[in-house]
Amino acid sequence: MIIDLYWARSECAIEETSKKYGRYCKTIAHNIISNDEDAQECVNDTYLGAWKAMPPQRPNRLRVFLGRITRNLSLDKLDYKRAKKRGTEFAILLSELGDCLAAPETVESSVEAREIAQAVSSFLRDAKPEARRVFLRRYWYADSITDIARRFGMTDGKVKSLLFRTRGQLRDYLSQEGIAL
Amino acid sequence: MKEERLFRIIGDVDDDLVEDAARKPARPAFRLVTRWGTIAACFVLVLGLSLTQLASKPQLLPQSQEPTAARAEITPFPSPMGVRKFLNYNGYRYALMEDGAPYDLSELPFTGSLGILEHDILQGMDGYGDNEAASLDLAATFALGGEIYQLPGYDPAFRLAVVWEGETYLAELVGRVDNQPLDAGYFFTVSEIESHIRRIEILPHMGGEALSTVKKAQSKKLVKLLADARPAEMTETDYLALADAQSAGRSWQLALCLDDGTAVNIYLAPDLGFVSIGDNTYVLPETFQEQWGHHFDGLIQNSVPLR
Repeated sequence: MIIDLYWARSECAIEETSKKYGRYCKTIAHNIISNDEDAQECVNDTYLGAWKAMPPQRPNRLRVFLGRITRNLSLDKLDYKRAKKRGTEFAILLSELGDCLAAPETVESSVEAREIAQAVSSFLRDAKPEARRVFLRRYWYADSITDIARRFGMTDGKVKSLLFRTRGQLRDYLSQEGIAL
Repeated sequence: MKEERLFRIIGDVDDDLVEDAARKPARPAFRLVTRWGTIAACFVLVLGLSLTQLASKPQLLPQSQEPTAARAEITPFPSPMGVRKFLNYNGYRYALMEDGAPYDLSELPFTGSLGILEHDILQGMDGYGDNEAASLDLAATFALGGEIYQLPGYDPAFRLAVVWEGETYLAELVGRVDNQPLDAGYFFTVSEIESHIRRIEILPHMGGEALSTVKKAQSKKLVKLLADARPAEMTETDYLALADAQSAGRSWQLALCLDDGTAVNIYLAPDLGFVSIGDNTYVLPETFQEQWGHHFDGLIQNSVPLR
């Protein structure tokens, strides 16, 4: 088990992680920063981050754990202005998330990120599986609309329509829960 | 930037949800469809008649299912695992009819295999990046290893039979594999719907009871008009308008009921002038509103897709 290798401080841990999750991490990084060199750097930093985190951490799901590190590192590396100017897929993705934000006066208070994440989890648990998976492919894995359409055997239009509805429902849900960002 | 903060927050949703979305979409286990949509109602009528009274085409009835007068809501993708059952053949995409329910077509002679479904689209879905199988001929999400045959009496460009593990399934044209628009005229030519239509039923977008029925002669005229629809170049605004129309109860499902007991279901938003046939959306001819708009006046649907 790869996690055991980390805990044993075996350098094989990184090699095995790279073999098994390298492509997965690279895809997430590339989806966010659209640059091969930077994406590879994020993946390498992910291995380093995992090395630093384990021990003491012992994640239940290594794949998600690594993906989350890659995701955060990629966001840190992203040049937002440049991405927006270039109209990258990720800039479009971020602008879509604006649909989930309620107007400030419609909610009562701001809450901690962790609580919001729990609320989003609750919302997704109640969503239809198809809508939930499509939403997470887009906003967790940062997949392009076309990749999602292929994955689920839908047209681009159907993916967009489904995402549009889910974003609206999430906005309403967060608003009902009194959550502002 | 709030959007970026929300993207980071979404990164902290529960692991099991994230893992679930990463999983290769599971190949749906074989099961009979228990829900009945529009097609069921067509069956009810045709079963009351003898085959000799009907059949310019063979009757296509899923086996092990008793027709019922009850109608249930239908969804465009009724597969329980959220993966549509479809296959690629000759550059076109076909969706399995009745969500992949087997049909009893033992009386029909199948000769000359058109190919074997050899590429697994689902397999390609567990990787990241392009799923090459999705664009290959003879690729499928269902009935892998199954053999494709021409369905006697039908143009294979419209419907195909798939024989897999001793069962026979039917698949119907929904689009092109390269996702380029499918010409509406081509769809109606290869399907010969104008020659075989019995009536058109207008249903709520989500399915359910027919709210209105268009008689045979008029149905033929409407089909002729639909064949003149041109592919829509959908913008983001158009998609949003369509979603709005659906949520506001201004989008309708039309069941084109054929003389073989099946129906081809299309979706129509008269106010916007859009019609969705298979995987494609088209702009209706300008004369549609004038000639057919009144058919939708006064129709009310109680259950609409949520926004």
